[in-house]
Amino acid sequence: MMSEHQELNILLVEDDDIDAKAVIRGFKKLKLVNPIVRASNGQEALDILLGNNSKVSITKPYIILLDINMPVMGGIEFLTLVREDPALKGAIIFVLTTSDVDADRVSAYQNNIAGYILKSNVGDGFKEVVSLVEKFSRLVILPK
Amino acid sequence: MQAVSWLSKNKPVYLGLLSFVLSSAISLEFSTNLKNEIVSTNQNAVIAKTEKIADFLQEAIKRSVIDILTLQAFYNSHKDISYPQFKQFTQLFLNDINYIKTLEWIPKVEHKDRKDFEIQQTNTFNQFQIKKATANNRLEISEAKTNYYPINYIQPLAGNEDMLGLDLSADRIQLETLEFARDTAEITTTEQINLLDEKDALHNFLMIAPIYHTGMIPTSLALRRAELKGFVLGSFKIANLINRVNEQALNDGFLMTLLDLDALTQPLLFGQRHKADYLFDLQLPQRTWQLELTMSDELRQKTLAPPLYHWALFCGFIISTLLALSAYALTRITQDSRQLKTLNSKIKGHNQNLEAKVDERTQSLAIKNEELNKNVTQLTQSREALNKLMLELKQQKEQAESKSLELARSNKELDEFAYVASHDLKAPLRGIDQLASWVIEDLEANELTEIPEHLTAIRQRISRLERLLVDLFKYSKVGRHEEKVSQVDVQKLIKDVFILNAPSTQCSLSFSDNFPYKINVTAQFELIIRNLIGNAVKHADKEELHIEFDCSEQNNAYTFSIRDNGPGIDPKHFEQIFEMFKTLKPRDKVEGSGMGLALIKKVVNSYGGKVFVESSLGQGSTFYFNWPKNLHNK
Repeated sequence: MMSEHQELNILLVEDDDIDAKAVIRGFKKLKLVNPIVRASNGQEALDILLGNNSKVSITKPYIILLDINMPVMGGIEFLTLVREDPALKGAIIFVLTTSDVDADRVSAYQNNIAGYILKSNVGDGFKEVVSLVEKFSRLVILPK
Repeated sequence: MQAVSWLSKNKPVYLGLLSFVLSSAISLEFSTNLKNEIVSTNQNAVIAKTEKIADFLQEAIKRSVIDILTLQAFYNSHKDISYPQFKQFTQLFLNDINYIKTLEWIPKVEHKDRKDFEIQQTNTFNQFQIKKATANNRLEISEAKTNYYPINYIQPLAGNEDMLGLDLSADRIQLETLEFARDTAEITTTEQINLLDEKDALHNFLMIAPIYHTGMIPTSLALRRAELKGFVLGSFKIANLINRVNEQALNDGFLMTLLDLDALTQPLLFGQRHKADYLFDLQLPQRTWQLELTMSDELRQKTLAPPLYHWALFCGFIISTLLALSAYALTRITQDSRQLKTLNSKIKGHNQNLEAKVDERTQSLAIKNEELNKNVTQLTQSREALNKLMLELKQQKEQAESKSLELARSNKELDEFAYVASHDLKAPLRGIDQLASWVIEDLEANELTEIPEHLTAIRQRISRLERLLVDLFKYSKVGRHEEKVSQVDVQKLIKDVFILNAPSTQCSLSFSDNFPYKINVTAQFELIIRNLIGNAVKHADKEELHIEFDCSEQNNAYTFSIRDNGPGIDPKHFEQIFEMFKTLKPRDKVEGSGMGLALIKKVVNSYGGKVFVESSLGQGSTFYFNWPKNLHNK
């Protein structure tokens, strides 16, 4: 299965270094070796996805882990722009939220995202998120 | 009315015509009188002239009669007169007067004495015979008659030799005249007769005087017939008698006609028959002539229609015309001037009326104007009041709207504040929690390398949390305006803030020339300055940071600006940066509560001002904010 399985890339869009580190530590704990690309905000993430970033790039298949509150470009704006872009339209996005308010806001995009995760629910670290990503990557055939 | 006005309108014409008629009549009368005067004078002159002519002719005739009388007297006083005696005597007259063509002696010769007489006379005259004139004016020897009256002597003889011996009694008319003279013993004049020697026979007449033997006039007819010795005779040529007179008459402008009123056959002696102007009877012995004088056309003209009359009439007419024109013009002028005067006074009246009306109207207009003005003023006032009310209403409405908007915004802000506050407060807490758990994990796993780093991060988040709380507290106090207002040296204040917040070796500060010194501020002014300088320092990306303050004055506020030479801001973030907890850099890269600009915005807004930014990436940023001029303690 694994051999047939293409390596899934992770785009982590998170402004908080600690949170980002938490996700990375979570992946390490589960021995997941999926390459993780970090973007500090929505703008950086868009640039990476569209190949406008000279330093960092990402290849399909990938999933996006998206924070909501970020400077420069937040998660909601990012979602909007992605859905409007024909090339990025089908991207699978998990939203990391810290509050119910965030959950409500993101619900508008429910149909267009793979699911969302509350940060506060992650308990110790981002275990849940990571395992969810792991399962997801095994069960779902992602668009290339 | 119309007729009268028409009449008065045409008054000058009538006056002109009237004066023309009057003066014409006067001048006509005058010239007629003048004419009459002149004509009568002229006529008198003419009459005098005609009389003179008549007198002249009469005188000539008289003188001829006297000549005959004188010759008769000569014969009466001498018994026998020889031809030389006759010639000598008659020479006197003939030399003197040329009226008489010939003077003759006609003896009475009885038939018994004829022979002796012819013989006797032949002594004196060659071949003297008694002759007679035939019908065709030829002379032949006279037949035997009882008595003969032959021309014995004739003076002048030369040219009249044929006449000698011519028996006058052979002609019936002459015989009658001779017998008449014998019987009456008067000098008698014949009517015009033919004389043998004359071609124009009609222009002669004879004057015959009887001579008796006694030398006296016999008292009875029988004695006169018995005693008749002969006749003295003067033959006159009418032309001779008349020529001088006619000359005179023509000179005076008359045509002369001479008539023999007693003539049986040919009464016209001279001239032509006319309708005569003047008639004079001329007395000849036993005969009356009539002298007729007819004025020539020229003379008649001159006399009856003298040129002076025409001139007078013409002048009169001219004067009349001029007078008429003058009268017309004068009347017209008078009338016009009167009309003008009337018109003038009318106009004056009208003008006065008009002026009065205008005055009245102006006055009433002024009053109305005043009223109108009053009304307008009232209206304006009412309108102003209404406007004010409406404005107030509008303001109140706007206030209400703005308040409701503000309320909505405030609610929203509160929501956002609550959310963002929970997020931003939670984030460091969660971070601390995470970091702490990692420290525990690392201690358990005996991996100590990352522990100091995590602990530092924990402390960092704690101080961030503290700052956040402080800022939140400050933010909540903005708009209450409870701080004390004090006048400060604004440049000094800025300099102090700058020194505390910026590393002096790498930063410089400058002010524009028009920067004010003393303004009224609260502690929140310092908060704004500190945050702006802090932002500039925090985001500086060059080795040397330069900050420049500027200030401009408006009516009620200053507009301060702070320019830096930092990285600049993309215009699409201009609104976002003033929102609470928004930062353009991750917290971990640039420390900040994310409340600085939001705080400034809230402060500036609370004083009725605005805050905004001008910038572009790589060009530095300029932040502007208003600060009230008249700020006082409450």
